[in-house]
Amino acid sequence: MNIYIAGKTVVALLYPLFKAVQVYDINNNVVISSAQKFMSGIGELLETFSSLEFIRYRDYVFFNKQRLKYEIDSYSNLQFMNTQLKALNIKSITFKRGVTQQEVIDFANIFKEDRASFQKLLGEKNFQHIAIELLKTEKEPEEPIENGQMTKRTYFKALKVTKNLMQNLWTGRPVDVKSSRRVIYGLVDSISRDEFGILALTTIKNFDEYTFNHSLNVGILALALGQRIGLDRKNLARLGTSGILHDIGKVEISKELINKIQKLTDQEWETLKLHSNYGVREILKTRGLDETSMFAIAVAYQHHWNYDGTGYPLREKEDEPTLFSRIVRICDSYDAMTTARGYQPVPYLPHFALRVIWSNQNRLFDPILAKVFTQLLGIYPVGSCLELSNGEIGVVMRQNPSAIDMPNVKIVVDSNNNKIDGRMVDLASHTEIKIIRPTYPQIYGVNPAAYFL
Amino acid sequence: MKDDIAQIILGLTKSFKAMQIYGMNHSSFRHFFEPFYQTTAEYLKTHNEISFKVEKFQIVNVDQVVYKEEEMDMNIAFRLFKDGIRNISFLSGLTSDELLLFVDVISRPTKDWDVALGLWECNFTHITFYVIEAEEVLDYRVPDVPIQYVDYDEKLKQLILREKIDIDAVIVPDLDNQEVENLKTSISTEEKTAILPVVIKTLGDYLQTECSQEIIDGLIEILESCVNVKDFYNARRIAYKLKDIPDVNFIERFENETTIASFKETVNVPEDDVFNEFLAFIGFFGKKSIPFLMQLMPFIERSDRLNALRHRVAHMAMDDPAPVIAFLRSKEPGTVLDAVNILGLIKPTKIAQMLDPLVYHPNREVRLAVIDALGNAEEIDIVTKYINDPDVEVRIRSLRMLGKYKRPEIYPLLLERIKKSSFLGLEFAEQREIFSVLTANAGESFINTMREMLYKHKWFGQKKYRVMRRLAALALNEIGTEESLAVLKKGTQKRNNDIRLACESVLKERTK
Repeated sequence: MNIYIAGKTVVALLYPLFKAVQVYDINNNVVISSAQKFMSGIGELLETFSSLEFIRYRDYVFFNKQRLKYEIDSYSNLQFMNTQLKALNIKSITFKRGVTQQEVIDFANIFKEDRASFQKLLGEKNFQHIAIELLKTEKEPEEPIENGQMTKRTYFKALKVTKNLMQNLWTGRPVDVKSSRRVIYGLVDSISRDEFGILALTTIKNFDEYTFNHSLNVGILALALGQRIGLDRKNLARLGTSGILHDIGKVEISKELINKIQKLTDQEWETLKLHSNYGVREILKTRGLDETSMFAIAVAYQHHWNYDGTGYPLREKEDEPTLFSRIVRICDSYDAMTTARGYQPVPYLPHFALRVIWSNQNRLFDPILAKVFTQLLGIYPVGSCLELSNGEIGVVMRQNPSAIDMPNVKIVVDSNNNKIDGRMVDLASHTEIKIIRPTYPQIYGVNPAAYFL
Repeated sequence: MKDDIAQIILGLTKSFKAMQIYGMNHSSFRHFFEPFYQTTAEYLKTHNEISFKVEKFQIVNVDQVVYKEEEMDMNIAFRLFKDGIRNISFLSGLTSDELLLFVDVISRPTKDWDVALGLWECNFTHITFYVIEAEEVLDYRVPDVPIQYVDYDEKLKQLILREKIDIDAVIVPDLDNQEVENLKTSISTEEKTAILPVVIKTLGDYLQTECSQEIIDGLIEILESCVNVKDFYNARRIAYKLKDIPDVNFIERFENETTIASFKETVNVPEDDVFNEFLAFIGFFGKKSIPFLMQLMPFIERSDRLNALRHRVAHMAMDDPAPVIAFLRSKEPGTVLDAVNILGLIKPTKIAQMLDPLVYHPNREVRLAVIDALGNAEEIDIVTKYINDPDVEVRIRSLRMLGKYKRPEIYPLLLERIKKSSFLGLEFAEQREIFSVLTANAGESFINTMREMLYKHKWFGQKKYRVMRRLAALALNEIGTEESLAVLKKGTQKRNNDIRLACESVLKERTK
């Protein structure tokens, strides 16, 4: 069994035990049976790995140094684990060889307590085969600079390659397919390392070069959603490529029409709609017909197909959009709504864009994917600007997987309306600060993207 | 531990060189690779992980240089390093296939081969690696946001109104168990369903909007790969989409001996669906391919499939059977048989003339096929020649065919035949067939002949009359007119046991 699967298995075995001790006495059969299952599950793993170590870093849980991803089937388990580790100020828990069932039950029993009781009982119990390391300060450890730099480099490299790709197509120059493949793999690795880090960079919008940023952002959003629903690396690479290439057909449409500020005439609208068709042709020209291209072709053609059968290009009744097309449909709409363009100088606030997606599930969007997308971005997506009850303005820097409506924010405007480089506030831990409403960052002269670089 | 690592590196080096010289299927490569895998797997049992830092010309394990190679072309470290790989780790659980793939990927010729991409695409479970991208100056600038003087509150109100957003609606994006299951099913269905049909449909739909050369070329490319992998379901769908496009000959490339000969396995696949799709696909083939399809027929094991292919070829040769006729001269009886059968399906106007040279073909099956072909084409004259064929089955088949089509001129011929004493030496089936033909061909006068045969000892000596009476009774029954049945009824009242029994038995059969 590989480390990742092993980690997911152990968390899945721990969760029912933790839940059982919250409800039953430790001598109850339900608790004992859960503990027995846990013991039998970890027995073989302890022979292979010698110790089973969980570390919480930010909102990620690592098992033997491998990050466990939030996926639909492990979401509740991990979310619970993360929440409790955070609440109890635990940095790591390690189960060592020789651990007994009684130790596990005793540990589970104190794991349900509040922070003060937990720390007191931990000192009394003195576990021999379970090591618990507490965080020394309240403050979350700083992210290693290398990780953030790597994410940033991946993003901007991807942006450069996307730009080159489209510009080369516009000018009829050859396209460097190898570079784009490397970029996609870099993005997949980045998503798998730290999806919130790279998702934050999708707040970078570019009014003048909308198409490049938009294409990349859709690719990243699609990758994050794909990872959340449990796609493997190979499929993520296909999905990411499809996301980045979804609008490639626009290279065949005049820039004047694409950037037109006034309302489009019927004929112009019909011409613009042809980008779905042209996308197919451009992908064929650029990449030929490998398997990834085939997925991208389907997405380029179908990304304006709605869940209820409407949309364009026209389709037959039995034609269903592929899973990738349904994913890109959501990500494309979200990024388009939240980006300023000629005909939409004031973009939708991310929170409201998400509400539009939410209220259009079943009609425009796949309802289950719309839910997962909301779960992924949180009620106030990264980059949102929030008016807080203490009069300050904060920019959402990071989601709280355990409390999606209480993100981590950076205070950028104080209560006297002064722009500041303020502190980080975890709204889940500071429940005294409430969100009054999302607001436009432009009002305060703030560009949220700047805080992620 | 040091020795173990040295052994592993030695194994890697030897396997790497052997892969380049011999390739992965050669026994010499296996000779080096097997111990390499064994040593590595053994080490991982106790250590869980081996990690190597990749430097420009050397590999380092726990601060010790464990690999160094002077010759640049053969330097494993440099191969990895140049594509940005800086670390490689093997994890516990590593399989032989994974390690083999790893050696394969790092051993390929370096020109145009990106080792990092190659490793990435392998999607290893127990091999991890860390890649850096080339250092380059990237513009980490956040684009300026244009300053606008707008009433944002008003904009927000408009947005909420326009999109009918319920700002108070509570959003709970948790998936219930059913939704999780549905999503998983959707993903697994998607994984199982091939993307190819979707792409074919998409390209086909595109062509309805615009006849683009790129799209046509794309479909033809897919078609070629479908034919190569014998995916005739998709090949047929593509052919259907391309068939009406003017000036596009998408099928010509397959109408050659090599391609059609490559279908030998397809015609014998166990799945009927695959064969039927193949058959449907070759429906798009032209006359040019007939000779090659004829050459394919001897390889078909199942008669129903052979028959189906013959029908398909017949359809192709309907306007001009010349390519099939050419095979009548083949030295292979099987091929002649196929050609005769196909001509029988086509029924060309001069079929009698075409098949005449085969009347005395030494192969019985061919002669039988000629009878069928001529019979189907209602060219009965030549069939008459077969009633004296040395082979009983051929004679019977010809008689059946003659019985099917009324030919009064044959009546005296056959009557003569049954009058000969040699008639009693024939098998009963043949005797019966001759009577059937007579029944079919003769008029009312035949009833009298049969009556005579039933009641009297006409033509035969007394000892043989029992058989003849039975045949006569059967013939009268087969005629089935009031008059013939009256003869039989009368026969049941005869004192002669043989007459009575023959009549009773056929009438009894008739009542059943």
